[in-house]
Amino acid sequence: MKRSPLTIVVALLLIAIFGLMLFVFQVRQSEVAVVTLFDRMETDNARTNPGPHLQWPRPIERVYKLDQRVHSLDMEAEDKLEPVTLPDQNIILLLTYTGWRISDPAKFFQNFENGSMIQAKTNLQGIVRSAKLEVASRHVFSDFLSADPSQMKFTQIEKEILDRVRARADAGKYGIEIKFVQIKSIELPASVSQTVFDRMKAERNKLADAIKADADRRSIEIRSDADSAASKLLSEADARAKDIRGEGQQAMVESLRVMAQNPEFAKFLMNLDMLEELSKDKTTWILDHNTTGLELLQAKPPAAVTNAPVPLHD
Amino acid sequence: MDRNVKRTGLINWIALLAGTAGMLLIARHVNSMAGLMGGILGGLGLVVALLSYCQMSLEGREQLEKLELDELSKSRGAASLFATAGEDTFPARRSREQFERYFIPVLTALLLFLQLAAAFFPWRYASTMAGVDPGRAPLALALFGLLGLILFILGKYSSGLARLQKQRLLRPGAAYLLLSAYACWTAAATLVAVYFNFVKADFYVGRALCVVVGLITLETLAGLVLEIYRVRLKGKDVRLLYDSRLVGLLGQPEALITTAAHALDYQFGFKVSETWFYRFLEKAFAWLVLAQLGILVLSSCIAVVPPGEQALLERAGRPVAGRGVIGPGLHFKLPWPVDQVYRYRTQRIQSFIVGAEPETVKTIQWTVPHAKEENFLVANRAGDLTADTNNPAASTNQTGGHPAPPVSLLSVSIPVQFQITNLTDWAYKNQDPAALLERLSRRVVARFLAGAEMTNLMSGGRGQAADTLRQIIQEQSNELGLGVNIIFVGLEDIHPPVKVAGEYEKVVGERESREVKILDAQAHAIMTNALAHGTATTRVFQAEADKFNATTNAVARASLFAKQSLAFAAAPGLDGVYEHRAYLDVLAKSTHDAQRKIINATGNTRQIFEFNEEPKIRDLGNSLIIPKENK
Repeated sequence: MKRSPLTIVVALLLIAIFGLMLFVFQVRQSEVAVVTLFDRMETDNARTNPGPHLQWPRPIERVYKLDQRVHSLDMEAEDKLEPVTLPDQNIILLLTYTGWRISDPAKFFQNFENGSMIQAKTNLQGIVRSAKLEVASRHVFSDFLSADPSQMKFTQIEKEILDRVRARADAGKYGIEIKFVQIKSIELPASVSQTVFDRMKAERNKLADAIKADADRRSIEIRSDADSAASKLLSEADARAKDIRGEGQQAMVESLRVMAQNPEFAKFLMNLDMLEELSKDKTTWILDHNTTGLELLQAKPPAAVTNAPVPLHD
Repeated sequence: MDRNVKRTGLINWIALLAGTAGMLLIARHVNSMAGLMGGILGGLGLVVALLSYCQMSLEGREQLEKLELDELSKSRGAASLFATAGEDTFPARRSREQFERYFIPVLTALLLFLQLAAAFFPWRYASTMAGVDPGRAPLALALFGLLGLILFILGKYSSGLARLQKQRLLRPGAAYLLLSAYACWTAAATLVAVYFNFVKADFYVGRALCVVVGLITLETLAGLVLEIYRVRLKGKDVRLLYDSRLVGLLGQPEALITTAAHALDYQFGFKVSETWFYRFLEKAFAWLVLAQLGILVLSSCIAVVPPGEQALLERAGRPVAGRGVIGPGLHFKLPWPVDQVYRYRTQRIQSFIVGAEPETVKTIQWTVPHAKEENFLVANRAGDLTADTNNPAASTNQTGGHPAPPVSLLSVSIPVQFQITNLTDWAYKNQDPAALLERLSRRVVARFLAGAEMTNLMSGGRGQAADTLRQIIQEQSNELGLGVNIIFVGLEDIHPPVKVAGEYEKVVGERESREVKILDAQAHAIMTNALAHGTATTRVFQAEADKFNATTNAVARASLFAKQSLAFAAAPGLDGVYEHRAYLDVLAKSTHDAQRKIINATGNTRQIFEFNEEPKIRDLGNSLIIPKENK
């Protein structure tokens, strides 16, 4: 049968592409590869580094690519939180995260099933959790939280945990390198948080009451001070007024001396003054008909007297 | 039947078996829905190929039986023993007829159920699939491609053989081989799409293949129903019940072109399919497809990095020397998969929030929940609340068996904004740099708040605290090689937790009340002082006026007395005229404005005249009181 050259070209091209894909693999800059020949690990380390490499297709050879960058293991996200009881009877929840990377791909691949990251994380979690609890339980609360920064031992605690984790996970056992262990945050169990809330409320209520009492004290002080000052001021004014009036009395001495020349007449005039003074307001006058000047009102002989009142005008 | 054809039928069946198994394994390996549907299509083809192979065997036996009878007839003459033979004389033919009459409908019905299940269950299963594993996609892509190529070559051969030798029984298997090949390539193309981040492509293609199987099912159902009413004519070729026209069309798309050409011929009234343009298209179709593929490959030699982005250029996995990081613009590179470009939005300001994620509310109130609250611990500074490590109970509340440590809780929302400044560090040093930066920022915030003063943070110290936080986060990001520039750290929405916010506001309220009380007292003091000053001044002035009056009166009185004494001397004695006149003047003047004047005028008659300004009458014993208006 006659074959079209195009068909042959396309077929060859496709075979070449698919063949290339079957026989060549790439390792990225961020990766490291582990190659197995019939499920036995290859000792040829040249094919683990970034770049293109040749391989036999499956199932002869298998290529496992592992991410060699620093992985961040978040204990809070990956695991349950566990409270730590401190020597001072406080209870805290310590949240950490751990940075690790694959340092020995071959060992890592052998230790964890086909280089399973999940398995590696699970193992590392146990190590970190154990180290974290051991270290934290030896420190008092003020080592984690204190108003005095010199008392806090955040960095020291992190270093202690890191040292312990490194001693267990490094040392060529797992094929991983622990880069850092850091405390992400410190929290309190729910029951303790509630007591903190209660304490905060009591603290604020106490402060509110203190402010209220202070307000009352200061208000009373200000008012008393003002009243006292006013009283003093009026007393001073009264004293001054009396003094002034005394001076006025002194001025009357000369006029009394003149009046003393005719005391009877002076008393008569004074009586008149008093009479005049008394009549200044709404005064009701009850006058006897014998009163000087009213003699004309005395009873007349019967013929001249009538029962009608005598009309008088003011 | 030609032995070659029968062998081809068997090869088809074996190829479909291997292809189905291969596709299912690859699909499982890479978790591909499209690959799974390809395997299912191959499995259905396997059943069809088995049916046609059985039918092929029976027809072969029938032909052999016929040949043998023909040989016997020739050797024994016309008066053959079998000239009048009944049905039992041709067991192979009888077997074939019974197979076609009973088995094929029953088996086709069974095939219908299989097709129904193959369309229904994967359709439901598709939404629960985890999705393609991109790490395994390249290998699976190669395997799908290779498998497709093998199935395609075998399918083409079989379909050609069926067409040339008019072997209808070869056609169903060949069509399914070709369809399986196309399914393989579709699965491979889907993997390419997934590799380029079109994650949902596999899901949609898988569902589309489910629809195809569903249509094939409907066709089979229609065929079975129509078979009941089909007019059966002896000697007329019958289309195979399990042979799907749809599969034939999909497996041989060029048949579609032929059909379309015939339709055009009919529509236009002349042979469109014989025009030079149509013939050119027919001949150049493959080249055109190849050219398109070529353009596709060539297009992968160009990388366009949009503004605000940078990209990593890797050749076979390693950064290209001198061009490891490329900026915005047009770049040339080797075709995929040799050179690959990974784009990052480096100029874009990215952000995350440490603490509470604020909700979109117009007004934030401390006492009203407005975010999923996340509380940070802040050390207490008050002297009476400081931790006493020797006697912890002395400084803590004992509620519910747990002591309250000497801390307060603070709800914060801290947005952190950053830009990628060193793409190589960002991409190659940490597996998830964004998450690491977030954790790092949270750590810095927690540590900072642990030693911070709450009141200061909520008031004037906010800006300085934000600057300090930004510096620390930047330093620690540099230490971890994150390759970022921390642009902004803001301390927003800092307040006590909602549970205690009321008490905090109460303190603020009491402060305000204190100010009110003090201001009231001060106002009172001002008024009291002013009044006192006024009163004091009035009293002094009054005294001065009195003094003046006294002094003036004394002088005037002395002067008057001296003059009156002269008048008195003119008519001396108390009963003198001057005295009398002075007395009456005073009496008249004094009583002139009096409101009442009561004068016992009649003496013995006991009558009293009362001149009253008030409008009322009183009985004063035997006296008559006359109101002014009645007098």
